[in-house]
Amino acid sequence: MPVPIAEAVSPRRLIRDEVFIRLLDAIVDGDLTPGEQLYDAEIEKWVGVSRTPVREALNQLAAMGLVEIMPQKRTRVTPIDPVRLRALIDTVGSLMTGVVRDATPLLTDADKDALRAFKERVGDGTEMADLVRERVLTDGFVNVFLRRLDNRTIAKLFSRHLPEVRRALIAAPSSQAFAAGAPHAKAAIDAAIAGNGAKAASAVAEFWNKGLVTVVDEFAAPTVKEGR
Amino acid sequence: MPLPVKDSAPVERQLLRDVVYNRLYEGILDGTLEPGETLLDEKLTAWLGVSRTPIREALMKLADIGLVEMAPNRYTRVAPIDLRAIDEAIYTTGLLHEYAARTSVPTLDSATLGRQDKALKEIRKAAKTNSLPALGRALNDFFLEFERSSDNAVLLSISEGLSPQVLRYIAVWKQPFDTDDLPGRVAEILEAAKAHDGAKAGDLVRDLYASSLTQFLADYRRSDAEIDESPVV
Repeated sequence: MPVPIAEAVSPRRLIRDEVFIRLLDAIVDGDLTPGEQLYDAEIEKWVGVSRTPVREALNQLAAMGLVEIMPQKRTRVTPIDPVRLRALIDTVGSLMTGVVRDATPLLTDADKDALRAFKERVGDGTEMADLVRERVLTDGFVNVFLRRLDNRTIAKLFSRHLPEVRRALIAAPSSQAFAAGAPHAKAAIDAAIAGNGAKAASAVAEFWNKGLVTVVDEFAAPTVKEGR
Repeated sequence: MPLPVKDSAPVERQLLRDVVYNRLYEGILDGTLEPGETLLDEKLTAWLGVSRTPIREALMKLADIGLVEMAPNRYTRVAPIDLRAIDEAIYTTGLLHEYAARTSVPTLDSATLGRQDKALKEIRKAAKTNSLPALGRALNDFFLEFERSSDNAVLLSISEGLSPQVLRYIAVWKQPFDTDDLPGRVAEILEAAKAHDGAKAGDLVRDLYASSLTQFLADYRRSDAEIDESPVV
């Protein structure tokens, strides 16, 4: 009898994906802190699975930049590096700007309702960590445009890079980045609802450039004295 | 005697993996390995003369950028040409190039402009002889100079990750970028770059890539009903 191979695949994949999602959420939400050392045995025990899916999930997180694996030395949650964070937020922001510009003409009435709800929820932007942790920013804003554009390549880039941005916004000591960006986010929503893609895009660019990116200042590296 | 714990082993393995990666990457892009072709570990180990581990590592990296498809326990194959994925990647690349041009053109140095001059010459030559692979490479080189000058490692690595789709694009599109004067369009961008006019360079890049969105909306984007039924990636 030939061995059935087609079905055997999915359970393992699911386990790996589950480990991946649990670790990802723990890192993004700050349950696993930046720089924290990760031990395979502890993760195996915590998630209740064997070594292979744990390693695969860690490799996937390493490819995203959220985990650092130094072979035969250590595995740790990647510390928050201001230089990388700025590069990341700038890049994700540039993609978001383009997505908003081109998805605005495609928005449905339901999309516009979702954006209105987001605008309500944002308020003055001082609840940044909650808004980001509860996926309000992701589902109520970013994904509305991403989904309507229907470009899977960009959607994949966001699912790969947005978590690292979210981690920083959640870990930030204050909400000033979001508070500074909130008026621009609201302007972007008004323009998007009115169907003005160019205006919505430039407001989103400001939401990123004058708002979110300023979170980097909260992680500025302590100054190291020269000659040490 | 305790075994010496050295850094050399992982480093050498890394290099081997990169060598394998580069061979496979080139093989896929120049067509030695055909779209859809099954990649068997045994054949690859025989072909490249290395063990299974670096090959698996290289394949995973290639899967990450969409050149290889791996279905565990079923197959590993060269990704078939997927026109939708290619179109999406071109559009995305256009957004990144546009942003890179806007931000880096104002301070572009003469060495970069020199390399872009050279790339433009290659573009002209390749367009004249209708050599599509060379055209793709030269075009990619030209635009990536903006990212390389941007001082943004994330921007560069995402753009480089999309490059293979761009290179495949040139080979399958009858008239790349929907223009009959691609070298002329690139020359205009270079002129704006030389004038350090970031806004103009960005606008020209956007205009050049606009056809990818038009095509996406006409041919590949699903209906709103289909979109609403499926989750975001």
